[in-house]
Amino acid sequence: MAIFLPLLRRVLIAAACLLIALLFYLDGVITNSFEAKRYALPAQVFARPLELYVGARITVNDVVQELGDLGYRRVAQARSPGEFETTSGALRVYSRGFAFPDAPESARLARLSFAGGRVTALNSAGSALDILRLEPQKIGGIYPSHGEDRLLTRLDEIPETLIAGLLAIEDQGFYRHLGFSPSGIARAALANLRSGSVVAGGSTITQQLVKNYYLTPERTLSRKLRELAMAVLMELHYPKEAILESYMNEVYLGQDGPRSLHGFALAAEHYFDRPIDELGLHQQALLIGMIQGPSLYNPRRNHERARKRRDLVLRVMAAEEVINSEQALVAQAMPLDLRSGRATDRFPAYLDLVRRHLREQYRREDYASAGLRIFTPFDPLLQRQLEASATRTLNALNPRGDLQTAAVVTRTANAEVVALLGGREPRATGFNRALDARRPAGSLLKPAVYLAALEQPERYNLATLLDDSPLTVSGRDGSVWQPRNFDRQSHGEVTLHRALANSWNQATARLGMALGVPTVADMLRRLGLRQSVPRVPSLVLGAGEYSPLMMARVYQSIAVDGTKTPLRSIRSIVDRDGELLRSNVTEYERAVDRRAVHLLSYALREVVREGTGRGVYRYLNEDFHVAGKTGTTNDGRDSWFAGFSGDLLAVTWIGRDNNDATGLTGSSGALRVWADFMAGAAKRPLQYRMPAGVELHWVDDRRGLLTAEGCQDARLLPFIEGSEPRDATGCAPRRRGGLRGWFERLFRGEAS
Amino acid sequence: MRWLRLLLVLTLTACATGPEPVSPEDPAARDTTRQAPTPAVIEAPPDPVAPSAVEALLAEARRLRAEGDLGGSFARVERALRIAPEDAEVYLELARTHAAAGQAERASAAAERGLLYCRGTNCSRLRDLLKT
Repeated sequence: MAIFLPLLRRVLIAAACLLIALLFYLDGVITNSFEAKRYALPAQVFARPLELYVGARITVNDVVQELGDLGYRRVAQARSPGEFETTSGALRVYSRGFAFPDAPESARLARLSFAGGRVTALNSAGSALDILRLEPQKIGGIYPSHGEDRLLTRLDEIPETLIAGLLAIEDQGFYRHLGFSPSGIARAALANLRSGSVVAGGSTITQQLVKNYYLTPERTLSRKLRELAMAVLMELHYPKEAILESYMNEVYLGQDGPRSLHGFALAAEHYFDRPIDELGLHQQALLIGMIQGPSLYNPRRNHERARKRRDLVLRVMAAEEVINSEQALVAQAMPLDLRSGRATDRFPAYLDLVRRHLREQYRREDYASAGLRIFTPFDPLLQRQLEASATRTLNALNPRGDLQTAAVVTRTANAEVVALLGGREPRATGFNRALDARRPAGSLLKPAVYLAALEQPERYNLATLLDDSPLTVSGRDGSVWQPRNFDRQSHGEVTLHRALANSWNQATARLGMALGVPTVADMLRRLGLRQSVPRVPSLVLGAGEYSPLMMARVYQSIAVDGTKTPLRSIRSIVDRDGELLRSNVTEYERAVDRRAVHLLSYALREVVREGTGRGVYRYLNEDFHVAGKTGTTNDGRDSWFAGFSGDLLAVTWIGRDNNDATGLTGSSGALRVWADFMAGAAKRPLQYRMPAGVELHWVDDRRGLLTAEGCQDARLLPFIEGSEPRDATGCAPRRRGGLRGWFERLFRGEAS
Repeated sequence: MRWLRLLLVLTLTACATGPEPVSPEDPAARDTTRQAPTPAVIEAPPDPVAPSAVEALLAEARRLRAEGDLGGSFARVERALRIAPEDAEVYLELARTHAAAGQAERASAAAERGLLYCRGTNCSRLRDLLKT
């Protein structure tokens, strides 16, 4: 015995030392990472806020759709934020307000009137309001690799009944215990003993938080002891409020595909489409009840079970005097009130683009868990129209569904990408054709050839005659290239603008060879194509590998008269404290002579009026000016269209993933998606004046000579000053006096 | 005559309602009107939109620029640009803000865009911002 005592003492001392060391270690774990865990937040990505003002071209239906997406409730009389009412031709909206990076927008009750597809009046508090900016929709999150999503809320933003109800159900002694509750453990032990297995946890909220933050889910004694120790340490270090707040932001409340939903705020958004402070009692109770088994009580899958659980929670809340019994009865009579189910990353293709732009600027661990708020120009209303146009067209072309499509839409004035379609099924994640397809562009590249030519006004103008006869180009490596026209015809000598409008390959190939492949490649680079292109003759007819996004970049430069502006998917980034980290500004950079681009734009308008793209006017009103270009590759493997109005640019593509033939041309395929979309989405036709240094001349469109109005084949074309043809047909201009002649001179800018 | 014809065509087509329904045939095969595009000047009447919203934003932008808050000024101009991409006044303010930021090239490029939409005194103000 006497021998054993010192040994025992030593063992005890060693054990105590070990325990102390362990406690120190656990303490270190908690203090080192509690704050970081507390605030580890995925980035939130927002759509553009809808701005409403007198004159805005938007219908009541679109605004109602937007309000629906934002989770506004249609009520008889709007009394609080998040509600709206409709009367004929008017809306009353109680906006929620939002902390925008440039200026906060406060919640307000506003009245909007509509007529003729426009907002005609906007008032708030009895006086006219310049702009009503609704809060932006959250279109997705960017999560750390483990896929945990959460929305941070402060305790004072959470309804008191929700907090009290949570404590009533999960941890009645929370404000009294020191991290663990012996009576709770005893109760749980008794229950476990009775059932012969582990059925109850008896964990306090602190223990649950420790478990979620630091421990694995297995149920062993050593893990339980560690949990107890850490819970006590946590209580020693942090105030109750911090622990409770962390818990409410951390608690697991279900799964949405690969994304796990953490915290009440995110759950409120996911299940009810409401901010947490707008939850009704019945909704609060449902969430509280779900903690015990988010999958078991999932209200979408197990409707009845979830309802029973909710009603039980309400009864406990009444018994604990969190609410009175009348409130409990009313809440029990409510339906579950879930929002219609929809995937949360509703626009995965656009998020891909945002992620890519982020990656160019940040490290993933910095943007995925720092709680950034990322504001994008994404326009859900335009996106829906784009999806509808693509679906309509593809279902008509190919009901079986193996054709694929992709599209990019930008707002030209500031080069913002506003909609993006990565494939035929817009909600699908995975291969994003708008960004990652690599296809030859066919005639979509031709404008680069013609622009390179028009930039040399001493050699080329719109009336320059090109030879459209068959040609053979021999490469240095002995290869032979023999481009042919799509219609297998040769058209003899044709004016330059007609060759582009009709997309004649032979004339274009000749022009490209005369300019030289490097000149054309350089033009593509100047227009914003960053990827390298094959330096082969067939480049001038679209050889190479291009994505719709790359084509959007090139056409964007043409649409904004030859200035290069990087395409943007990020307007600004704000950190979790609301501090502005980055704000993108429109920067034009002159890339090509604007006079040459003006001539090209004329030819691209001709494409849709007289050339391969004239199918667009089966969709658009005749007086709505647009410009565009078709593109078709061999056997119709790719059908392209790119074009722009005064406000929007769209590039559309149709093809097959396995690169099989579709039998479509640019005009029978992609053009239809484009035109169907633009007919509904574009609000402004092209309208601008000639830049300085461009003038109009009548030319003979067959012979490329100066002529006069009314003469044979006379056509009025724009020319860079001094580049008009030297020779004339000899057909005399019929001089007109009087009022009409004066009008004409006025039109040409001669009258003063 | 050409003008009158054009006016007539435009008036008539304006009366037509909506786009035609989609039919599965190749639209290019159908003979739609082959109307030559009007060259160059399509000086449409100023948009009835040019609304108080734009004016309010530009006034704020000018005030912020005067106070030296160029970030705030840019943010307002961006919003104005989205509302009225064909308003020379917006490009003028964008150019001036770039100029205030010491970016003469960008100011010039923005002013050049504005010249496509300007009228009256705005044009000369924009020309003053062009790179010489």
